[in-house]
Amino acid sequence: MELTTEKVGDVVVVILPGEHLDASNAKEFKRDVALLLEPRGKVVFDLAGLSFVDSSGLGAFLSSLRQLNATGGDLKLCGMTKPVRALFELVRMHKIFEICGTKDDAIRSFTR
Amino acid sequence: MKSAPASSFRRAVWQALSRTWPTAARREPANAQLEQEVAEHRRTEEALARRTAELEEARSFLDSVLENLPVMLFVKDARDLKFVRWNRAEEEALGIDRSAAIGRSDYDFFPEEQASFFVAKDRAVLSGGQMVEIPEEAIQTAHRGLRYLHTIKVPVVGADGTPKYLVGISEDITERKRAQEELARAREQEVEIGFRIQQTLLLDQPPRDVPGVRVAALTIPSQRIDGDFYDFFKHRDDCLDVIVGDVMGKGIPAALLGAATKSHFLQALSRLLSLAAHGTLPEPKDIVTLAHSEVARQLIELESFVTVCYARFDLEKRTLDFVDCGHTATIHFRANTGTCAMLQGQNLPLGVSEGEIHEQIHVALNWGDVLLFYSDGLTETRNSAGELFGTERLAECVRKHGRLEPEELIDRIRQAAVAFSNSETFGDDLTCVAVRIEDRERPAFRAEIDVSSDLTELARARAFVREGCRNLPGSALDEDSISQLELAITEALSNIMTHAYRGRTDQVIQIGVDAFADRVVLRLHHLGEAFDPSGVAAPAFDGTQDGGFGVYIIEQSVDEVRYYRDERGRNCISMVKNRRRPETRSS
Repeated sequence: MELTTEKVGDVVVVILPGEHLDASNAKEFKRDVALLLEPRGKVVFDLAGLSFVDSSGLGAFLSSLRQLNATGGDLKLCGMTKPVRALFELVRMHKIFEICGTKDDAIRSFTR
Repeated sequence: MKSAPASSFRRAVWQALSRTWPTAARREPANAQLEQEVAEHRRTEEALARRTAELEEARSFLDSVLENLPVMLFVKDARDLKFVRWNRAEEEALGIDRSAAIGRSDYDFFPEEQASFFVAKDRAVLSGGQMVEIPEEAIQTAHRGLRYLHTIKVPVVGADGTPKYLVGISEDITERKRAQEELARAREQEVEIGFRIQQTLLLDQPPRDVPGVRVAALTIPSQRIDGDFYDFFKHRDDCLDVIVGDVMGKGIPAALLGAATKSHFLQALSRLLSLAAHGTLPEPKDIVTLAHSEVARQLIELESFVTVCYARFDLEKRTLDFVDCGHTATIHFRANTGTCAMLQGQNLPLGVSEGEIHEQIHVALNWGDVLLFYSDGLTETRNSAGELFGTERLAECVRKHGRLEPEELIDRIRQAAVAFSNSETFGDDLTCVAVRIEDRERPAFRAEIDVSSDLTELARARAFVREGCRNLPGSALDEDSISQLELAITEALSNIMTHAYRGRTDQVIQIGVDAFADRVVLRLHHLGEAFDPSGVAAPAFDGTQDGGFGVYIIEQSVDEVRYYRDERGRNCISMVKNRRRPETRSS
């Protein structure tokens, strides 16, 4: 899976490709994004292009979060569309992830 | 020849006599008195020898009896519980020679635990001064493994009233015990087989997707199944046949007869269907008559009979046509009056006489009416006072709860029967089928597509649902609801693809959307393995688990979800989303 990243200071922003992350591509995303996550990394997933995420996509995010937290890093999510936000709230994952409005908000929250 | 007597008492007597009274060989010339005394002495001596021989004989007779008894016999000394006697049966059964046993105690040749058990019993016998029976005791033998004995222990009390000996008599019951265990296992197995016959051959899943009717069924199997059966035939979308039956007798024979009868009905129906003019259905009475002609002779030969009720619901005309062959009266709950009527025909049970002409009864139905079919196992449930649950109580229960959902109604009936009999288990199988007549509305919109069991199809399935819901006649479904349906169908489909079809990508899943004024129904049909959501644990919401959210997400995204098997044997998942502003439903 082609993942676009952007480095702002020491923060790595991963832009989610495609408009959906579901059981058809979540495994691939989980595998490929894992290679981009460095120990103690400050990472932002930009979900602005995603209009649909299912439980597999959610699982991939959780896996990334745990990988980063284990090495002292952190993951923030930004640019959530309404249906994606609804899923996070449905399974209470908005309490597990730090969710920021925009990409800039997310980057700023790391330098605070 | 007589040998010297064994006992010390007798020996002393013998020696004393020998000394005082010389024998004939060294007899001296004597006077007449002495001669007489000698003769007298000889007589005494002879009598004593005879008596001794008699005693000897009696003793060896008793010895021989004890030795050859077919039961095990031992004697222990009351003081130290050491064996003083050990018969041949003991030697053979336990593989311990008397030379090894006499003068020893249980601890010398049995495992500690067993020896302590034996000794504790011995003490109880001796201190109680009474016989004790031990119905079963385990004993480790030298060559024959673990054996089980039935033992009786008796104290033998001396002249001074204290126990002198303990006599034990044992019988090896190992074989009997094994046979009993074997029998119990065979019985258990019969129950298990019967239960499986019942679940697979006798009872069908009630149909879930016949518009205009809602069906629920309940079975509580008893220890021995009794051949209750039911079956459902759906004809097109507007006709449902319900057959309920009860075979006389119990156990596997009854279960097999039930299965045979049921298959005869299916056969009769399909034969008549193939003969009927296109688009017409054979009448219930003709189906019953044909099925009966097939089974009657066999039932008569087997001296059994079957009560049956064959009911046809015409959901378009809202009528019931039924043929009752000696079955329990069907309860008809009338929604408009809130009362119950008992429906019963005059036909004899199947297998009573050949050549029976079957009468059919016609009943008009209304929305909300409920028909309750049941086996006599329900009405013949008894309370502790021996009273029957009875039809009256059952009808009262239906009258009271007739407006609940059929599943709920049946559960209330079960609760009532459990409360009445004060037991969760019943002597007879308890079967019950409730059919409720519902508003029969046609969907305002219906669309179907097939997708293959490949995860790459998920996006296409979502697009199908989204397009359908945005283009409903009248007004579109709101966007939030559409998103929730997209989520639900994605979770359900990926479950089917990964679990039901185990990742095979060449299978088909049919997706249907039905839109009504007040709700949208999504249906997924597949031929993979059935899924039981009740076996799924609640997900963890603390971020520690990546998966396990699917079932929860589906439940939370729609208003109702059902997992069932349809009349074509396909596994189905139906998901209902209520529309936000329900329009008034037309009747």
